Amino acid sequence: MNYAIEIKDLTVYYNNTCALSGINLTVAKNDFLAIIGPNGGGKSTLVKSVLGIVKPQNGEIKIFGQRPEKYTVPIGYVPQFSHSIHDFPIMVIDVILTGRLQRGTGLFHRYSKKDYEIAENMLDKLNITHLKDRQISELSGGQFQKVMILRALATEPELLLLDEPTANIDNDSKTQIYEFLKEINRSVTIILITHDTAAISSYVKNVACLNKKLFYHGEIELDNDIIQKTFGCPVDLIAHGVPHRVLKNHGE
Amino acid sequence: MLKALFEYNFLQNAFYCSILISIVCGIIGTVIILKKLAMMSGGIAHTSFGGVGLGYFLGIEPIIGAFIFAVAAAIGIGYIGKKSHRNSDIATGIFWSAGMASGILFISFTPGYPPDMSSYLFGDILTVSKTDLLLTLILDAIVVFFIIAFYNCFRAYLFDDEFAAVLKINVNLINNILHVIIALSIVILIRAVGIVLVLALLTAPAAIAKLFSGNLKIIMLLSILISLLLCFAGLWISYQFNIASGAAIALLSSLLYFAAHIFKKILKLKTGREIQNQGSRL
Repeated sequence: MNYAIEIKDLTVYYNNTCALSGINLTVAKNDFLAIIGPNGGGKSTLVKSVLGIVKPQNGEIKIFGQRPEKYTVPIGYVPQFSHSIHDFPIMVIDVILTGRLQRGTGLFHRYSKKDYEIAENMLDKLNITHLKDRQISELSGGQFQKVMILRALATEPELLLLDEPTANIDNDSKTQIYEFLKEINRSVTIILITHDTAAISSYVKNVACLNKKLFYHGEIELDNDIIQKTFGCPVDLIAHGVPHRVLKNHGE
Repeated sequence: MLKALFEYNFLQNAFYCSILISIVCGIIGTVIILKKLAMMSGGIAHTSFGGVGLGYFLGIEPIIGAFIFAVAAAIGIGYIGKKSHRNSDIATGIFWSAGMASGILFISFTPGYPPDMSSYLFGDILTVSKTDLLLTLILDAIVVFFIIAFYNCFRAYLFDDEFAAVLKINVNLINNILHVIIALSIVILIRAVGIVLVLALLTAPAAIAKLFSGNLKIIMLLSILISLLLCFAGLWISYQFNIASGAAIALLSSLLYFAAHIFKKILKLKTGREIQNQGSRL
């Protein structure tokens, strides 16, 4: 069977704090998986373990059947928004070009003509060619996120991981981004961390609910019980266009 | 002063030293403000005082002791910061005090009349020797080579080290090399502006340059020029009025930094008003 990701018994601790415990998760090729869960529930940790940024205490991760060290195709990664990155003095085109860098980039490296072509094509895909020579600090939140997504895609990945790409951006940009992700999902497996329930109902194929443990993984028919277990309290969730409005009191 | 410049060897040395340290300040200073390493740099500078003391105690060249302590501090602070998953604030503070304290301890253990530490604490660009100049020149060559040879990777690392790591660029190696280079730069600057005053010259030029440009290369070049201007002006003031050169340079740096901020504010207000005027005319 062709899996994009196979995770077995993954456990991650930060010092003595447990972030993830006993995660078993398989993601099919060309899946569009949303990971939901409360803050501090280990969503980013899971993604960072797959990327190899966080070293797990226990468990095994395979990407397209290979161990992360052996898997040499770049993984597309869109990190959570950070102010220190947004303030950096760099132009849009140069940000996207960094996606063309690789391990073993030698002395006096210069980007090739092909790198420039790929980067400019990327700008075209989200209609932001006019922003090419702009400083990223001048961009709006939505424009900035588009640049970060294009940088990730400039690596020509088979797997794209996004950490809350649409937090705090306007609805138009959101729709544009999700439509674009849907389009590239034909060739790229996507894993998306999000709190955006509207996006889950209309763009995503599968959902994983994460709060230290994996509480659910499958299609988007979520019932209250699973939500209750994941978040520890009732939450509003719209699934498949049917509102599951939960108005119970908090159990604490 | 120009005539004196041709006549006196020590003024010529100070002049060359200004040029050489400005190159380091411009490049490393830019890195320091972009990576928010100003406090760590202060910590490294003060830790190196321990090395100066050790140098006197063992009877070796104090600047070599300073090198060893500075590099150890840079790697130590970097390592603790990485391990504790948060900023290296506390480690910086501890290294800072411990370095100063051990410096004082070593000097009080040193037999005989205590040496004059003020040239290490406050610097004296007018007393730099040919050896100092040679050391600075070597450091300049290392820094410039490193930046030009690895520019693309280095910029990607400065911009977003996590993403660079995902691309399997050796971020740890870049990080360690950078810390060592920062440590070496600080020790070189100590001769000119001193342990206590080094931070002003290291941060002010780059911070001023960043106010007026959004291009990394231009920020680096501009801060080299600003640093050069500050060193020359400081040197001139120190020569004319017989003031300590390190203090003159540090104070000028701070003044220029505040002046640049105010200038930028006024510029913003003015352009803001012009845009408003254009808007009302339309």
